[in-house]
Amino acid sequence: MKDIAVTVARPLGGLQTTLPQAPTAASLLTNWTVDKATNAWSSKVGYERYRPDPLAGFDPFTSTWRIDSLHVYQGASTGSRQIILFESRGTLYLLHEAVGSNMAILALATGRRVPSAGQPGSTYTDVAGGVVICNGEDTPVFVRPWPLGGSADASSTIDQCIRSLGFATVPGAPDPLRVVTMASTPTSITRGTSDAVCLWWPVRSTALGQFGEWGLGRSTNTETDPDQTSTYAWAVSFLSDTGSESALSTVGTSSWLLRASVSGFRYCAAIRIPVGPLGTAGRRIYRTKNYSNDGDQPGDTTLFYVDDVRNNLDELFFDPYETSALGAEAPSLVESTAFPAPRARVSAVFADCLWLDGGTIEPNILFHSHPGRPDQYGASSFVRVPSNLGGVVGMLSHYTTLIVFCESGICVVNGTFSNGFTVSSITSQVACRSPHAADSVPGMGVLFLAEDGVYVLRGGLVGGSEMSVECLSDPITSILSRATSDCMARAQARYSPTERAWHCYFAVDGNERSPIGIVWHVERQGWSIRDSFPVSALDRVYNGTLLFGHDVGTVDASNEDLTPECGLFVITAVRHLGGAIVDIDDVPTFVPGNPPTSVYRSAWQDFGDPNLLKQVHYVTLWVQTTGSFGIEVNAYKDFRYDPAMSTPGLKLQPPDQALLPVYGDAALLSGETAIYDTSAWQIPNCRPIRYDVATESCTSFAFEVVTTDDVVLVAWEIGYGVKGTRVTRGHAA
Amino acid sequence: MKTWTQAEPRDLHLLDGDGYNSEFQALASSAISLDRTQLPITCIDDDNLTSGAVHTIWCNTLTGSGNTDGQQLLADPTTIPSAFQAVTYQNYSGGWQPLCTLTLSGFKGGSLFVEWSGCGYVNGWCHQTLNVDYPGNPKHITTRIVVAGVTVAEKYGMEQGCRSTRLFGTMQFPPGDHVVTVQWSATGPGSDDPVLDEVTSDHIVVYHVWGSKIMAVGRWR
Repeated sequence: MKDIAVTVARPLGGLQTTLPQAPTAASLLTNWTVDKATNAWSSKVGYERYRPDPLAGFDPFTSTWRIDSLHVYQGASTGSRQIILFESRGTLYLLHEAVGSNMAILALATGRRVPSAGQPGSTYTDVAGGVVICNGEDTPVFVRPWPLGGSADASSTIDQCIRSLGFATVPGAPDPLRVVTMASTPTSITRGTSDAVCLWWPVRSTALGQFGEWGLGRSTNTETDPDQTSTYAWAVSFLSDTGSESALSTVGTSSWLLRASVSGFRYCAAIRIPVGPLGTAGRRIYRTKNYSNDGDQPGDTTLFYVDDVRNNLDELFFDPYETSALGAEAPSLVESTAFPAPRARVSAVFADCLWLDGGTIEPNILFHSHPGRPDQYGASSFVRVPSNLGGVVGMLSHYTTLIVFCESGICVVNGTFSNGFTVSSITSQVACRSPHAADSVPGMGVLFLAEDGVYVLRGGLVGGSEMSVECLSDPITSILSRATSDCMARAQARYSPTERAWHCYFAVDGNERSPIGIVWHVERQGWSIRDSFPVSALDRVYNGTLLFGHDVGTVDASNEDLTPECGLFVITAVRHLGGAIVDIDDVPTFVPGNPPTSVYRSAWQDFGDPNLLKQVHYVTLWVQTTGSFGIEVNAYKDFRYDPAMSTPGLKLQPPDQALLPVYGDAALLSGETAIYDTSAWQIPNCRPIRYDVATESCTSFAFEVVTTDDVVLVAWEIGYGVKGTRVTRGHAA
Repeated sequence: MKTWTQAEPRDLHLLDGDGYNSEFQALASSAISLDRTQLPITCIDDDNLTSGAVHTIWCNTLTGSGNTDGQQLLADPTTIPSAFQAVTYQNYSGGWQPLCTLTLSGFKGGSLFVEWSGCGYVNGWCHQTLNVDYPGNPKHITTRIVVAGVTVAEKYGMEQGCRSTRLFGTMQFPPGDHVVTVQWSATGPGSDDPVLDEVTSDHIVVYHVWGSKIMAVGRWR
């Protein structure tokens, strides 16, 4: 074949639908991943049940519908490696995995918002000791998944794992009991009907015990001014289990005067204090100095720290502390106020602060907590994003910044809590409208799905660095144009460390479900497509494997013989697309689904000069040896929709040596079927498989591999001849 | 550690040693770890998973009955109407008295943190005694936490008036259903202490302790 020229594609690139195509690119690249051993395209993809127990079916998810949101709480401070939370049809569930066969889903909350097709699912943010969940309609909740024990314990204690985030309001005012002062004899103390105490300390050195160290108020009358009055006010704040402190209550006051004939005593006040909401770990007591006109600080109602009540049970607190024993001045509204974002849609942690948007009422405001105190918000702890960027859609903490995605642009927050935060606008031309369609990718930056493509946000604003927004999706613009734009808010994207790939799933072709996936492969710096992966919500588990919630669930339960897929699944190297429960001889049996169909179609090759007609003679696939199934090659020419020819199927075996052993039934195969205890394990090796092709003359050529078997495609080459014939003139109009 | 399919053997596919190794490695890793979901179904269930495997918390609350409501054992109902019905020198002559208890059922051995909190009252009027020409008899209440006969924490205090207070300590203990006992002790009566209102014959209250709460945390890993 001396007249044959050869073009080689090595290594193979990613998907490119734009023209002209790079010779190594692919026109179609569906359901492929990157093989770790060879860095080649591998068809070994699929998805399987999160719970791989062969007898479990879809338990415990058989009652779940579409999974609207999903989160894997990693490294929980609870002894478990991870805790999975998800929502389906308005119920927030915790997957309780502690007890093997009794794995269950426990409802944390019901009656929550069910997102419409155009609304994103809830956002989850890990903070110290728990997870904050927001959805824009329900009050943000804080889930602290305490170790739940066995099945019975877990069911009875799950309600204690969830509470509202923040302090919805200020505590109720403390109620001091009336202080009755000493009379000349004990029996003449008039305590009134109720709610009064007479608890006194001597102040004179002639008294025994710790005289003069305890007690409130004036101790002596003067001849010219009897009836010395003491007036105090108390306030209380709640301390949450995250260490946060609520705003101060309004004050409760008490005042008493000394009887003319009795002096030398100070008094203790007894104060009824409010009990806090769920999540309250203690109460903090504040008090003024004596601000009566007879006191040392007339009119001064400044509050000072008195003491902590380290529980949420006590309803009565005794205050015997002298003024000199008071602590620091009470925090102001700047330190803590009522929870400012009861309709927050999204959240993130940045600079150790929890950030929340203001919801639809205050869409341009970001509130932030005190560092490490997700329940505590100061009255001035907020920033405004530029109004020209529209409302806040999502947030992602990255590098030294908090990236804020808005309806019409992107801005970033920099700074620290102590030095203040600043907002900088990055772009008003690119916007991401799904809070779940952005994730960090090592070595690149933040990849996110915008209305018009996939962009990467690189760099930062610290240390002289610059931020830039670059489009990555130019090669797959035609794929993105299929997106159901109204459903883009539900797009899901996550980076998988296992696959070293950024996955993004969104609805296409006017559908609300059945999304398509676009995958950015870091090693190949290119795109591929995932088809038939019913992803509704996406996250990754502890080892980097992607976990997703099904986008349909049990909605089709009317078919009694078939229980369709529902619940959680993982994207792995399994060669099935989920499965179903089928009655076989009246026994419900899990039957794995079919393997996904992988399609590789080369770029259109004009071999350097589209004006010349070429005669393609062969296509050689450089593949890893994977077995004795038949792989066909479809040959296309001149951008035709249908193939010009299909080759016979060839085995992916060494073409010039004995066949390697394969799994299978010996009766069906001759020679290569593995024999137990005899056949040797094989190491796949790279071999050329040449396909003869006869497409007659063409200006452009492409070939296609369609398979449900395991193929690892390393490279290819095309042999062709050129006789010098030019393309014919076009049709006359 | 749960892992999923790394490589799946299929009909007509190569006897792939690399695939076998990756799958075997994943399964072996799962088998030696704590992931119960991949073990045989009946291997570990609720019967094997005892609650409180890592730590256990015990507590009593204010809402209970018995000694959690206050110091009941020496309640004197004949004190003056405006005073607590509590300890008088008619019913207390000194020494340690039990205040409240809590049984640590199923304590597995290890570190034990135990805390008592409550309120105490000492009638300061009684310090001086009725005989002002001689030294007085200062009053105070001491509290201590005793676990399995061992004192974990002790506090000398609450000399006068009324105070909210808290006492806690940590110590190592062997396994067993230990009993936490909170005890109090106060200054005993002197020869000149007032004990009776001469007009009404009511007893004079000297001490009171109430609002007792015990919380204990056992950690064994």
